[in-house]
Amino acid sequence: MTRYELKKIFSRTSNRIALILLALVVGVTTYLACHVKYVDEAGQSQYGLAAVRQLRADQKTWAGTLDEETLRQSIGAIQDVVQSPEYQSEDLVQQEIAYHRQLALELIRDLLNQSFSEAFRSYDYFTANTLTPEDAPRFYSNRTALLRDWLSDEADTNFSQAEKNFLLARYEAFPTPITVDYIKGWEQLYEYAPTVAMISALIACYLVAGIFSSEAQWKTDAVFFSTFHGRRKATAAKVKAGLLLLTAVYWAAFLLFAAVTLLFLGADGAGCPLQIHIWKSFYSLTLGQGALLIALGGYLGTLFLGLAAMWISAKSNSAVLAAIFPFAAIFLPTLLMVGDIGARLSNLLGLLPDRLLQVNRVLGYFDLYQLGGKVVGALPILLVLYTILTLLLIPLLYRTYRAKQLK
Amino acid sequence: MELTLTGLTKTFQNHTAVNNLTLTMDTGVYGLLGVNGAGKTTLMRMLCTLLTPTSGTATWDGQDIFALGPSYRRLLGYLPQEFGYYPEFSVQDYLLYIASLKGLRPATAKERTEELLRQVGLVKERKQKMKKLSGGMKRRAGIAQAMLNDPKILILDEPTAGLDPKERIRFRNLISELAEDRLVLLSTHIVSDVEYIANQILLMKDGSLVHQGTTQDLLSTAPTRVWTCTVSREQAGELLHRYPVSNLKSLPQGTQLRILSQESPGPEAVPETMTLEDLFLYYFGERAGETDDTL
Repeated sequence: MTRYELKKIFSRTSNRIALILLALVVGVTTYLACHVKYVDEAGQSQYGLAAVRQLRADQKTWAGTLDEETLRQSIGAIQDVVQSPEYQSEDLVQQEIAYHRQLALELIRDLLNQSFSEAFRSYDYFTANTLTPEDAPRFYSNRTALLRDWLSDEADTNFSQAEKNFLLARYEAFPTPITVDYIKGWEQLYEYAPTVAMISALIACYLVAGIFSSEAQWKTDAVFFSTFHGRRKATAAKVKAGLLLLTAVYWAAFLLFAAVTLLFLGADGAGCPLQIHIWKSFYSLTLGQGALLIALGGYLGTLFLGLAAMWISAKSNSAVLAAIFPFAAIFLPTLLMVGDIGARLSNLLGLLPDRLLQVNRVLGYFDLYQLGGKVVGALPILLVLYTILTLLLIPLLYRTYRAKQLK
Repeated sequence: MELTLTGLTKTFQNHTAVNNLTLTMDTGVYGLLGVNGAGKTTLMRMLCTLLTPTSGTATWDGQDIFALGPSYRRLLGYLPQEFGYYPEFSVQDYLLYIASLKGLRPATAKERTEELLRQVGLVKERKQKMKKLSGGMKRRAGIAQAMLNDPKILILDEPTAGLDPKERIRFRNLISELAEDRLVLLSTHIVSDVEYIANQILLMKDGSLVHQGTTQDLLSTAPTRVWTCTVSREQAGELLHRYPVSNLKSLPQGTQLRILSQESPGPEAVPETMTLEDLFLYYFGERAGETDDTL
């Protein structure tokens, strides 16, 4: 029966077009993720596998523990570049040559910019240029100091004392020195994964939106429900087909994107702390673990939105309403985040299902909740809450449809 | 093997579609006759467990059909009035899918599908997509799906509606052929269909059963008589106002009317033998003809 349900779905031209569209978007996104620029010694831009290999080789020279000595050397190397005639030159090619000499240090330079920034939430690309090797010992302590200042000043009213203590404790517990590596593959995966997750979720939800309403639309519901299995196995087969489709579409798209990106750019640095990419994050995770959470969060979000869309479809007999719901659930919170409303609703917005499709951002947000006197970040709540809701939606969907009355 | 309805009622907001209907049916063909909106479809949907009654019960051999659930539906074959289909499925795939919904094992499903494709004359069209079939062919595919599980109860809602005369006769014969040893409830507003194939006729009006019996029973107990007369156009107009007229024909010598009246409508009127169509018009009045040009 599940086979026939899938056949019904793929018999629709619009659904086949939706799949082609998904393939195109995933293809383009993967291409953009892999389209990494490398500037060679002559200041010429290069792209492609050779460029990636060169970039990796350059950045690997700085891979290892980022201790005080390495930081001194890094700052010294940046100073060398900054003081070089190529860097000072007005000529663009000369500047590109100077840029090439810093490429190996790209990641460390970014970490220095963040650690030594003027304020917790500011960022200046040229901050690293102003540092001296003597600043190196403050690299790790600055991170916590900036947070402390921010919490007692700008963000004073945004957090309770317990939440402030929680954040400071997490920052202080951050194990140092950290390990750095070439992490272009993970950087690009973090950057483009939400696009893939969102488009996969939207297309998968669109495909499943008609599973339940199509019987009424085709007027086949009367025969369907008057059969032996209509209100039992056949309804279960619809739920199963929906779950299969959501799973297959999401994972096919995500794994294709992730596999190509990581194979092309490399998966080095999976064991490095998340903070080498998301410096302010308070989550104790490695880059690899973060990526796994991004993938799982996207899957959970797809399942939840897809099941909710199917429930709307079963309840209303409208595939249109069902297909609109995931769009609204994904894009409305983004619109609400703007301005005062966003600030007032930030606690609620932090727990909406769209966040599951952009876990990379959740990893960097300071959305905190107090549960029974304990402060918890949004991510564990999102994962537990939506796992429960998704598991509840399955029997609810089944019961709603099997009890359907025809008018 | 008895389907018993006791005080069966279905109300939608302020409208009572089926009103306190009590009836017992066993094997044979029951023709449910009534105009559109009489409550035929609502009644059939309740008997197919697609709608729960507001009050009253429907039992199969003494057991509530809703409590029986799947074991009752296992005995059921249903062709709805608006027969829907999966447009991209081939006829064969469609039947195999419905067979799986009906709980038939794959081998049996294949066997029954072959058998029914032959019986309804769709062997050549088996690979054709449902959406490519003509109206008559779709109806035949519809009856085939209803028969897949060799049902004890076959419910056919307006099965001949919209078919051309040739296809309608073919379909009627097919139903007669399939009607043996089962309970067939056939709803229609086409009188000749039930006249030909139904053993029992159920006349339904405004949600209630107004009469029940064989054609002969109904005609012999009819509370009216039928007369024909040929009159001038002016007189015809007057008679049309005074009596229900089941037929009107323009002739060179005037207008011939077929009038329903207990008393003779005039000295020139000649008594005629009553038909089921006359009786249908008597009970359902002007609304009887509004959707059916075959009357």
